[in-house]
Amino acid sequence: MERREFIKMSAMAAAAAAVEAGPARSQLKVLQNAGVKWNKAPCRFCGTGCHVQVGVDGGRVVAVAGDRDAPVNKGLLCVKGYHVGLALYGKDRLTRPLLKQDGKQVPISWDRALDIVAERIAAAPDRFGIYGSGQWTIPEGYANQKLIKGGLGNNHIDPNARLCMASAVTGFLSTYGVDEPASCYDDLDAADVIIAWGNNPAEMHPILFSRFIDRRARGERVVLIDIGTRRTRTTSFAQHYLEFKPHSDLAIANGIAHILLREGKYDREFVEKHCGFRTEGEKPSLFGEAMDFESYERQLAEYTPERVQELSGVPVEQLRMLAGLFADRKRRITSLWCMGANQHTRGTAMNRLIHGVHLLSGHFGKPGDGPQSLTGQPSACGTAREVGTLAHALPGGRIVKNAEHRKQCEALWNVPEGRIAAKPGFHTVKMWEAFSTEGGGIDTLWVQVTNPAQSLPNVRKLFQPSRKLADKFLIVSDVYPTETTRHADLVLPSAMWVEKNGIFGNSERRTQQWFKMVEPPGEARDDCWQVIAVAKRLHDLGVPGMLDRDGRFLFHMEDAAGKEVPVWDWRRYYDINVDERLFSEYRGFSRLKHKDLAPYDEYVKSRGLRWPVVKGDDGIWHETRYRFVEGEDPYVEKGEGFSFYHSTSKNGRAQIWYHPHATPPEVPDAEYPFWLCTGRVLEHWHTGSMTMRVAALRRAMPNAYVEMHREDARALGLRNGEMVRLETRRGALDLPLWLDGRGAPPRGSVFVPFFDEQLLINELTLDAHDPVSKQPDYKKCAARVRKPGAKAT
Amino acid sequence: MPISGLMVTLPADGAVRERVLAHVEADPCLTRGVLSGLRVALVSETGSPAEDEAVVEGLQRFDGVFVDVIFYDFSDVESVDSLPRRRRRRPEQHHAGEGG
Repeated sequence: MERREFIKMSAMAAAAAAVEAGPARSQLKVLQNAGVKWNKAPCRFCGTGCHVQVGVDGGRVVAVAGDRDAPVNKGLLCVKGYHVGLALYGKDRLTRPLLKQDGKQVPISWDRALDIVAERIAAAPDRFGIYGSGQWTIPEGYANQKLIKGGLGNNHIDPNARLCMASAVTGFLSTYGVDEPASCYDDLDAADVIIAWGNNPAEMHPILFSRFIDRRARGERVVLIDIGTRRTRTTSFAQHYLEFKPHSDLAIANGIAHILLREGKYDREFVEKHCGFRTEGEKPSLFGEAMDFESYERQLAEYTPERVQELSGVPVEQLRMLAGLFADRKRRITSLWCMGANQHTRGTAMNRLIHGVHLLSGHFGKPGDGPQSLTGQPSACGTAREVGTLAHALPGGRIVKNAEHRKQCEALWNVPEGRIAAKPGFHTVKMWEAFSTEGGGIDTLWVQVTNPAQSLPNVRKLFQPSRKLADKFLIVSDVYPTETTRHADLVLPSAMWVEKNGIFGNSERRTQQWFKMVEPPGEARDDCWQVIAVAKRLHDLGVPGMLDRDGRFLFHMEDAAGKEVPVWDWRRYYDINVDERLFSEYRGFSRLKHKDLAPYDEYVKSRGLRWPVVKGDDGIWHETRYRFVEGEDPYVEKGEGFSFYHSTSKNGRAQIWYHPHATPPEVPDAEYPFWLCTGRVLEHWHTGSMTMRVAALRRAMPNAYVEMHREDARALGLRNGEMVRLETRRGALDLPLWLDGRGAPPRGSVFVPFFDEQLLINELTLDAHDPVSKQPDYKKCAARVRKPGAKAT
Repeated sequence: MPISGLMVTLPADGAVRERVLAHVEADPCLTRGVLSGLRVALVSETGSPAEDEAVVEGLQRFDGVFVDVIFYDFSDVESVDSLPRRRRRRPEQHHAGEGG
């Protein structure tokens, strides 16, 4: 049989098996084409955490297949995910270190590049910062964290995850006392009602959405409710669409709580046993001020359905319908949310209110019944949140401000007491302000695995000024040229995805491991190696902090015979499994806040495990589906039912918060009459640095556009497809107008995606941020639209 | 010349479903496999990743159609493109609060 015919038959067999048996029950054997070697890896793109079978032949990735053994995706892949293999092979991969000289980037050797980085850091260690990513693997994030906090004693490290899920973190911490979802994706197979709070899973998390589609196709009745500010592909599958005015989602959540209380439909027993009440104090914080039930009820009194309709635009009938669903405890309700609730100057508050509605109504802790926040990056949870690569955090849920926490981390890192600084470093917005200000607190910034020149808000303020300041030096490690590498003083070429070992942690606490399968191109090298190699040069320069208590190098590693392996030497880096060594060290931190991880080899065998993972009496490592629930969570004692054992009130209770509706920092007015919302599209992942290299994806969605309501366009005399000028108080951009496109904004609102580096919408967005999480709001600011050359009215 | 194995979930509306199936029959790039309930197995065989993407996009244009990918072989795709050079459009100098 011709090879091509064989591949075609294999493809049909795979698809037919999924169709006939259902994706969860497909018994398809992994396709074994002659000469193709298959191995598992989590997808490189979003936070869902699908597993891919990767086919390698002749040193190249030649095929991908959904992994039938993966509980997350059950053999399926989304339209974006199946291009993940092709994303390695763009013609313009970065393959050599590049140094800016006389305005041009010229190739230099790795030795010289590493010397330059080390000398910059050594000259002013306290003015050095690292800006990382939720795309860092866990060992990469951990190595950076150890270098800067455990080595240099400097806390200026923050990830781009600050821009996408920081409000989810503060929401979880202030509600349960510990970060990350209590529930998991299994909810999608059991829920009677799925509520999308300001997110669009049909396009942004399609594999999770396909679990719902699969149930519907099998004839199950699952109600989908879309609560949004603009119609999307998710809306087209929803039974109910609740369109709200931007920023009024807090009023909707308060309205639900109001109805539940007024009609006596809240879960009194659950609330009395397991919940406390909180409201904002004078200063924004994770703890707020305690309040009693009566005060909570009084605060909510003004959120009558009629008042909520006035504030949000959601009709009274729809609000009552939603509250009615929460009032029915026989139904199982899963709430999903992502950037809409998080990229919000009231993001922490909105996250707390979603948790609060579930706690108040007792829709918590059962399969299909609970709040589940989603993330946008493959290891926003694993690396940013669990490793704690945020400016205030340490691994294992520890924080730098807490002396006892610092001591614990210093002991685990075996570094001298007092090494870790007590003052939090700069969070993302502050870090870039400092870098873009002459004499600001950061002179040298090392960006890894992210593209801030495109993804930061208000880039004209936060990023671009730094490029004109002589004392600022920007180092960027990446795989492709981006808007950020183009402005860098030094570019370091990185290995990508299966060109290196890695571990990610997805949105449902699932830790996933993979092995290197192909060589990176040219001189591209692992990010983790880059960090260790710089640390070794700092050591050689005599920079304090590069030795542990025993006088050994901070990244001292030994082979099985106990002999030190010089892993800072690229030729020796893969002599041992550095990922395994770093992960095993990091694992010690995970038990400090009941986020226990299993030994590395357990992840090699599995398609990921959800923490806490503990060894049972049967000798098997068991993952946890539902936290805080007896019989599911190993840390809940028998007879407790539920236990919020990290409660901020130290009494085992979760907190139900009250937050009032408030106006956003910028609202449309006569001069700028439209709301501007930004976001993602199905074809492109974030800033498009990988997906724009895949011709198929680029042709399907070649450039950014502005979506507008047809009536607004008519009123302005604008036609579909013509170039229009979009302006805010921060900048202007000419974009093609798309009417009746994929999304449908209501009147008075426009939408622009952020994937296009040629059309930088973040030159226009606002850098105002949530006071607790410090996460900026990309979803709303005031804008106007006109024909280029026409006068603004 | 990529080959994809697709699982397509069809809409509940019978008329739309028939239109989707007719579209599949008419597309020479698509081979239809087993149909079970609202799901149908398809193989897409095209000349390039871009054509493959267009086939999927064509299916998703029908209301209620959802496409999952099971398998994707691109062993004879040489490489993907670099990002094409596009001239960045710069509106005239903008001033905050500019009234025009």
